[in-house]
Amino acid sequence: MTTFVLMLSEVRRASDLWDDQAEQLRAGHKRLTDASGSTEGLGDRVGPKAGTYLTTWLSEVTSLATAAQDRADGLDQFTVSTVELDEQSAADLRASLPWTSQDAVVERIGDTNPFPTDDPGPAPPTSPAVP
Amino acid sequence: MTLIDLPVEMPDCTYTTAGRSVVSGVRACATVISDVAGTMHANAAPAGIEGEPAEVAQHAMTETAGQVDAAAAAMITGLTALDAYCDRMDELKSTWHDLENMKGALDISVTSLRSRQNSSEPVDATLDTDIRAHNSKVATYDTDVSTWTSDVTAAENRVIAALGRADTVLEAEGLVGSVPDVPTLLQELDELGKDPFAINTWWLALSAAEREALKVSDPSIIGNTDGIPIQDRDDANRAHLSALLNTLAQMKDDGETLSEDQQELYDQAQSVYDGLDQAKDEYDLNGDPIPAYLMLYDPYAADGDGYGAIAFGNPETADHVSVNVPGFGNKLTGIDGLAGSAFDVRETAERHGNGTVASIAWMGYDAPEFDSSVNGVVDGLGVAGEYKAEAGARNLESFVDGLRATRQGEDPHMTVIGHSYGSTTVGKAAGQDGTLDVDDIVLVGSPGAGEENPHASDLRGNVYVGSAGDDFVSRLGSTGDVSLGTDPASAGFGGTRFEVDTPGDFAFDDWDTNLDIHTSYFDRDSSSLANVGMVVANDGGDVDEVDHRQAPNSVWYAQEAAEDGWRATEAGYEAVEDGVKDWFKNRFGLG
Repeated sequence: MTTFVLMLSEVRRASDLWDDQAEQLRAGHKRLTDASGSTEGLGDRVGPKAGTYLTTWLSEVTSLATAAQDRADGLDQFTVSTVELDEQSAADLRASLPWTSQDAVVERIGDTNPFPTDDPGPAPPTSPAVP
Repeated sequence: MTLIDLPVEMPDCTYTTAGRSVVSGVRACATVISDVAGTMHANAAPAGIEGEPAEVAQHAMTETAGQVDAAAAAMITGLTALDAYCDRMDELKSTWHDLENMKGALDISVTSLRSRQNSSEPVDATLDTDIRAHNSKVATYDTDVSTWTSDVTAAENRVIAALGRADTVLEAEGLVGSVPDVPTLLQELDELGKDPFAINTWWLALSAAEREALKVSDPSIIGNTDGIPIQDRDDANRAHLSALLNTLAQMKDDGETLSEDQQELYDQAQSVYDGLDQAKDEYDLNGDPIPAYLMLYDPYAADGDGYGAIAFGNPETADHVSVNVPGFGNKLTGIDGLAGSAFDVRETAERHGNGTVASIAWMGYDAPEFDSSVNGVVDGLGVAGEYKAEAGARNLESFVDGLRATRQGEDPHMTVIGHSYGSTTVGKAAGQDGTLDVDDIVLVGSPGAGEENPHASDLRGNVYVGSAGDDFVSRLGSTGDVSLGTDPASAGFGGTRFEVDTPGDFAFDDWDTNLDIHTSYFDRDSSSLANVGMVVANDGGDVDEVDHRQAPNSVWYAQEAAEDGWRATEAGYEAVEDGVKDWFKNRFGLG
């Protein structure tokens, strides 16, 4: 089995990025919700059609926001739960990172410091879980 | 007997201006989506990347970038159609009101003619003629109603079709390729430099979809570029403001503590909303709502102090336009106060009955940033000198050029009003080293119009000056040491000096009152505001003139020191900081 080592600082950066997007999307959702309360003003024919249009995009924005938040939360949870991964976990994790951060999940060759910054982040578990 | 024709019944018009809220809500959300798209693309797999296709396909930010692109495309499509629909319906609603009035008049006419027909009086010689005239009006009215109904149906069909093309995710994915090429459009804009007339011509040649895409993707550029029409600037800036404030509010709701910078952004946004709200439920003398436009919103400018401008009334169409330029210590967090002054100037000028008025609170330069204290003001003079006024003058020139570029019809009567250090900024724009050319210039509480402008005749425009006798800032003007030029209230300067109220007496040991005096020029019901309103309404010849100052300001300071007695002077002197003490000592021999 190939063993991978995780650069936690990159994971945390990705988590912050997803979290920011989720917040922005929720703010956008609020403005769309406000808008959907005013569709009557568009008139009898246009109002209902605008309502349908807004319902679609309210749903899509909710879905995007939820997905972004889930990714942020997942990364946070991952950060504190494990530093060593199997092949599938490494692939899953790479999928959530910025493309330019793909190297954060690297194959273990000798001893690797998973905390390359001054701020080491959350303490790793004393007994690293190996899924 | 000629039959009396009855007018057709008026159709309902269920459209109201509340429909505009849908447009602004979609625009604010589209701005957010566009931001998210930018972030996702910046972190997505580059197009054409060589790698495992499966790895690219499952990469979340790459996938999300595609999803938000689709959402953005759908929102721009819907937004463009909804905005055009509201524009058209605003016109048609106005026509509908005209037709409603016409219908009322025709109903009265029918009643009157029937009464005459049924009258037992001797023969009514003009009745037939009057009925034919009435019937002709009914025919015109009926045709107009029919045309109106067709126009409404056409407008509705257009927007319904557009919304129908963008109300499912699958359809939206197909719209992505038809979204205007924003980077190319921004490149075109960039190549126009800062020429507001060229920018205006370019903007007007864009399609509605291109304009909406630009407003949504880059609101801070579109909203703050001189030469772009005011309604589009307002759309972009409000979308930017709303998106930012809602995101910060969401962070608070999520239990996060805002950083100092984020809290500043939040406070700025609140102040802008408070400024815009000055016009809420307010009406002009014709009974029409007073529009408020956010002409400038850049919270990151001036190292985070922020730029902003709010117009009350439409400067593209008003007969008289004024621009208020503030002075020391002005930041975007205080734009609500400046907006209040501009609002009052507009109202005061409008009462002259010389035509419509638009007044703008313009905070578009990096004013010397000092706290509201004598230490702050005097330090400001020493530290900032004329440098910030010079930079501000260039921004002011561009802003006013932008107003002229977007003007619909003849040029307005234009007044620029500078308060405190803002008067130096105005002087530098309208003086020997600047290009600003306006009808009238008002300098209030002015420490000088710039070293290079020792005379009112150095400024392009008629110059009016308001300086309270006990305003210590207006007493800083001199030809030497730390000053910003000749005292504009002096006889040597040669401006028209008008009456102002002085809410208190200068005292060396009462700097709160001293600062009140300096900041009271726009107080409601004050002589100063009344005179400023006259100038803005092009009645400058009627201001209440007062004599110029004859003696040098150093004499005034010496007299004040003598009046206060040494104890008060010493107490006031001790209250100020060391740097200011040195200044007083060098300037007036005090201390």
